[in-house]
Amino acid sequence: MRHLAVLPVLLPLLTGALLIVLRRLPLVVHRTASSLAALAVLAATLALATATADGTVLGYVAGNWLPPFGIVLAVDRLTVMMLLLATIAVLACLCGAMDGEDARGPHFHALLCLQLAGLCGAFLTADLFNLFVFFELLLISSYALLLHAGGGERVTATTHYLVVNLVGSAVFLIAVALLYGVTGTLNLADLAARLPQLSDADLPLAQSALLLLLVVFGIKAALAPLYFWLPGTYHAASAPIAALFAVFTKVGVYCIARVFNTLSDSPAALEITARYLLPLGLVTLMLGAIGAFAARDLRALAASLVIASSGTLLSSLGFFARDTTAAALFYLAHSTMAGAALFLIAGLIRLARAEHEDNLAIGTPLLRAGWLGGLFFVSAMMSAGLPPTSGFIAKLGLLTTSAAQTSGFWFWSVLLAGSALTLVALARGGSLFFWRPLTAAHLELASADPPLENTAPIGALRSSPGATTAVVFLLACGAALAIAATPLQRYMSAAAAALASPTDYIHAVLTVPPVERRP
Amino acid sequence: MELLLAIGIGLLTAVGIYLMLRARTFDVVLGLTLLSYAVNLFIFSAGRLAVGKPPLIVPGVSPTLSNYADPLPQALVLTAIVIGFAMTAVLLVLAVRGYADHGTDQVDSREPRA
Repeated sequence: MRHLAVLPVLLPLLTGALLIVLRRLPLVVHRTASSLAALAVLAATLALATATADGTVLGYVAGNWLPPFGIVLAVDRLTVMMLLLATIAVLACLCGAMDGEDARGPHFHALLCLQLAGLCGAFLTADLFNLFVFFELLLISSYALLLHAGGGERVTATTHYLVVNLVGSAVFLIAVALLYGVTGTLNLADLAARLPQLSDADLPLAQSALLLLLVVFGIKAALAPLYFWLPGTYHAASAPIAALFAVFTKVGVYCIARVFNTLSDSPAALEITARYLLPLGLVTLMLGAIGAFAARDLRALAASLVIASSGTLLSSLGFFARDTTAAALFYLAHSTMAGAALFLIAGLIRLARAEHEDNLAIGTPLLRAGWLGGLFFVSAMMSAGLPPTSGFIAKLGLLTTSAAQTSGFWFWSVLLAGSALTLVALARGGSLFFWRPLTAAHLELASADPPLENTAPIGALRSSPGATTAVVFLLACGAALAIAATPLQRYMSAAAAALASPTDYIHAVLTVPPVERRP
Repeated sequence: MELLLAIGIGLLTAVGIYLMLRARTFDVVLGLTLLSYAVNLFIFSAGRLAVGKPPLIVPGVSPTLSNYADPLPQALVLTAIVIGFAMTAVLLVLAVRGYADHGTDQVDSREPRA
């Protein structure tokens, strides 16, 4: 398959475009088409995984315009891992939305396909401007998905999210133009070769461009102080969409890791990220944990945990050490699944508690609380990082590999303190939801309050089999991560090593052979 | 010409940022539009300023940048304009929808307390 590398973008893009045109077809056709597209991307990703498992970097030149002039897509082990995570998140979102969320507005499945195309493109591309284009593709479909089924809170939240990201796009373009102005290229590998040769006069310009890039990726990755868009946005989104958004911050994290590691031959690039990434990441982690502690409902708690996990990731990437990066990649995979599962569970609890929603307060007793409680318990253990879940393995990896680093002390203290806060916040939520439901005594006390008369619980699990399946799927992925930890960690160490010394990647991107025509 | 362009970009950016920091959606839309104009001009200037040079290769003229205008920033600007246009359209729809839903054009959907 000579075109294998471009399939994860092309397949969902074409499906999405077709579904927009064929919007009058019944919902079941849309569901089947988008599921098939996601499964096809999964198959293509697995094929790419076998092709790159030995460390080869698979390149693809779009339209046979050779590098450094044309746009190059490049696949290595890290890319494959990110593609897989994006596909898993999209599949979970699809599954969760099939309970009826997708019927509440038009074009849900088309938008989801475009979203997947944008995500895959952002992970595949080795060209900065092309990265901008894929960012916009995934953003514009995310605006529409966030707004899906409407509602006052969503319109306000989407406006804020849109304005923040438009400013981010403007900053991205300024950075791209600056880099092009001083180096004459936007191909990531070519840039890596040209940055160290810059004259002293051009160096400050390149440095400010790189700093602007860090700001842009920081907005996407929810790096403090650029994360203020996140809580409102995730809070307003419906549960399956919020679960999908759990992979969004990872796009920013991936871009920071990829771009700044590839450019690390230039001291300018390394200096900037090394100076800012670790301390800002730690601040993000701490603020996220405090936010989780202060959350008023489970959605806000889950959003704060997304911020905290972003902080953990960015600070551990800030060490620029191979072992820590490998551990960070494992944490990245784990936190995507844990975050998505928690958002879906928040949706289930919200449905089950009727007007008490998922507020962290005493409320309606839950029907079949055992099942829902079990799912919550497992995903909370994952998020907090308790053994024997994947969260524990991920955090253990981060702690052991960072112990010997300078400023490892700060990382240890903040990570452990943040984990403790997270654990308490999740435990408080669980006990409020499942152990202290509204009793007759409460009802009597509040009998003057008319809304409390309708406290009949809804069987959330029975009425939303899709979301339940999605949660079980995500938790199973997390369990697989824990069970297959040793081979996966070996894979991620190899990916981290390739990321830290990008000569192979640079060489492969610059010497991609053109796709030959069939005679 | 460099000075003129630099002043123009600076002015557009300043006005854009000022309008964006205001609390009404229409001002924010205008601000973002002006900011995107500034960015587009900036990308254009990254290809160096030249007057009356062709972006396509002419037979007989050696293909160096001293004889031609750099075509790449022009292509980038074109893409950026299209994307910016689409995003502005989305934002306008949202602004109108927000005004219809909330009865106010404040970005926070509620009038500030006096």
